[in-house]
Amino acid sequence: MDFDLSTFLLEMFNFLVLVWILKRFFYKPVRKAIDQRQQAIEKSIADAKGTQAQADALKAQYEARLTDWEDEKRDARHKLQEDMEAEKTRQMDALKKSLDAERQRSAVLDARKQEDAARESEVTALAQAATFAAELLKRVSGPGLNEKLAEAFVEDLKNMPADQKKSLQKVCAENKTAEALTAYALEKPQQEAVKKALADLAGHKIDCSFKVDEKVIAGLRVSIGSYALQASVKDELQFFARAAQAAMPQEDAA
Amino acid sequence: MTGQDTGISAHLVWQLGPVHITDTVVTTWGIMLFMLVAGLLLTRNLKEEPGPVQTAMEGVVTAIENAIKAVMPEGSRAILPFILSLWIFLVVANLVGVIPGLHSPTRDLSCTTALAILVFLSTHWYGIRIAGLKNYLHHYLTPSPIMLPFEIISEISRTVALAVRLFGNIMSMEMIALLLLMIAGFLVPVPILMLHIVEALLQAYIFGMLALIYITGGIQSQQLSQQKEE
Repeated sequence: MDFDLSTFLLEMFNFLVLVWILKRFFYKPVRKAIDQRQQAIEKSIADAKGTQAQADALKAQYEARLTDWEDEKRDARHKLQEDMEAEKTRQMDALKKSLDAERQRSAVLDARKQEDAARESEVTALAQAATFAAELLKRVSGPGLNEKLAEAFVEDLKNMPADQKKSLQKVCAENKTAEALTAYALEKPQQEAVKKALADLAGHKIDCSFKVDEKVIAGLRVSIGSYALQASVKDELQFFARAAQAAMPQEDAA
Repeated sequence: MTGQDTGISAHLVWQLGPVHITDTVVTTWGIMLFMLVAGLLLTRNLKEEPGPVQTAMEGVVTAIENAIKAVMPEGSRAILPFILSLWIFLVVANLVGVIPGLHSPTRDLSCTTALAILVFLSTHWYGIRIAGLKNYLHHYLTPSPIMLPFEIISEISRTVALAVRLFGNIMSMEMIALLLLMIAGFLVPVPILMLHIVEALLQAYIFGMLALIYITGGIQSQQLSQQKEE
């Protein structure tokens, strides 16, 4: 357990030198390498954090954009639904109007068809009625009816309205002859009565010839130029049929 | 000055007037040269991606740093070179004795006393650097001047204990190994040498940790005093 002062002092000096050596050649270089690596790691961490922050920002931005897109999509869908509802309503209204118009047109057509059918039925009925009447009158007609119609003809000439009488006189002034068609041959007195009535009406003698035509059915038809005086059953039936046909359009117009 | 030659005491190698160069000093120079060369070679080509040797060096530095930070979280860098040098030197110096023909410098009381005195001076040096001489000396008078003698006795006794503990342990281990080698023969001291390695590492750790505690105690007591005054 010796103590040597020289060794003591030299050891103190040696250790201080050793501290310097280790600090200069060991601790500082190693510490520098560690610090550099630490800085590189911290830089990497900072870069990673920056990248993370950027990624978070981008994520937030994309999420916000996604939310906006969802809102826009929802609005667009809502608007589309509204437009579709409006278009549907509009088309339904148009369809309804079209259907109503079609229905009205159909109703009009049906009514017209019914009217046409009714008219055809009436025409047919009139024709049939005329036919039936003609057939019936053919069966019941005879010389007696013929004479009565001749008498009625003479009577009508006497009682003819003034304007007709005037126009007939005008025709008679240009034509001195007349032709009379009868279903049955008239007796001589009846022929003279007809001639006399015509002469009285015209104011001068009319040369009237009498012919027999069974189509007349009964009565007579006298033709003076373009003027015809009708007092036959056939002419009356034809007049009746024409009057009935003329009356139908007037009913449609009403 | 070297006393009786027991094979363990320091041998005088060279004398220059009043200056005695003992084998303790020569071995210390050898350790210093070894560390200088090793430091130059090993730190010559440090890379960002370390190899096994660089990893080991960085592990040593980091472990010592962490040990210091555990005791003193703030300002650990200031005392790190001193503590690091102390630990590395003590480990190497304690283990040198295992090599045949060499003796540990720390089996010499002059060496351990020098280290203990350096620790003692460092404690006050770092304390004065932080608080200033007046304030640092003032803390010996607080809380009461009556404590001053006890403080002085404490400083002396712990320094002496530091020096004698290391010297006694290392010297005794070497002596045991020498005695066993003399008595039992060639291979018998091997277990004792293994124990010597453990003891060398343990004593280096104890000495360095006590030095660290003393220094940080001096620094932190000043910091606490400043905080109280503020």
